[in-house]
Amino acid sequence: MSSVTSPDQTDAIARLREAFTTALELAPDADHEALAYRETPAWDSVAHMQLIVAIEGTFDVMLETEEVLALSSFPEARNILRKHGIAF
Amino acid sequence: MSDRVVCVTGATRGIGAASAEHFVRDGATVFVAGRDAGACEATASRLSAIGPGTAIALTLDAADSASIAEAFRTIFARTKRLDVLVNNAGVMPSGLLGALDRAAIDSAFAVNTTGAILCLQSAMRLMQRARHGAIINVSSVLASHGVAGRTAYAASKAALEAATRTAAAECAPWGIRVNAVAPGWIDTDLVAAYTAEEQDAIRARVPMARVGRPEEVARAIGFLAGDAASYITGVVLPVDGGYVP
Repeated sequence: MSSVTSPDQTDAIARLREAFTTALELAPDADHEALAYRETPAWDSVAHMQLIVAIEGTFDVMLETEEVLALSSFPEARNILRKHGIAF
Repeated sequence: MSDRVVCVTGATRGIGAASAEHFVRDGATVFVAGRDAGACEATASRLSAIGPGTAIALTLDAADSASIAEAFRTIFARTKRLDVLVNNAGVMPSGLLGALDRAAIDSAFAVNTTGAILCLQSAMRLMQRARHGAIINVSSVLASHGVAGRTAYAASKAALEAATRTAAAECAPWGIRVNAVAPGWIDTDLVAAYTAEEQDAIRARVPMARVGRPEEVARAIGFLAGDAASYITGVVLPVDGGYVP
């Protein structure tokens, strides 16, 4: 059975990519799926807070402190945002 | 302040209530936060009747991290922003050092330090979105000046002052200012619990020779919250009538 991605889901992924790109000052062709907190050079603790603010602003959500600490990759960001009702 | 959203913890009495009233009179939308939901509702109703700002009751137990998180989720859901936090909730356990039990020490730090830092953290995260905000922690002259019988309270407030200075440095790049006031002898329930001997001893050390009023502290808090203090962060402002230790 193949999965179908809706336009809203595609838009959400694009907006999440944009939040990462802007907050971490990534190149447009960066491999977002490979990003890792404290491993990707641009993703240090200061950039992490920039990223959290960017994600919260983009999706109009307020993350819990535990989620701020757990958000360590692009896939994990998707998982956390799903809990806030964002479809990917 | 007419377009500002303010949260005052411990807002149902004393300095907290006076601060909430100050901001409502200044036109702000004020979350009146406290443990007792009924008292918060009553205070919010009273302040909204004064206006021109609006007061909103908010249940927040500063000793309970889940309650703090829920309260700030409520602020986000209601207003999507926060411009000012007055971190006022506090307890004042007393007892001479030799008879000070662990529960009293834990209580002081749970509310006056840990709870205040958690509120500061949540407020900062809401303020980061706008890259603007002011946080005022309510400390005490006892953080700097020793009075017998207040070891746990004084230590917890001194820790809060250290947190104020550190948070100020961290928050400054976000346009968020973090300051504290250190009230001296103010006419509140907490100080009413002082013994007569303690009150006499304190009065003798206040050059202005009178008890301060909660609204006098509220005005200092209002100053630190406002644009008049736009280049002030990381300070502890005494509001103590010139208290001399």
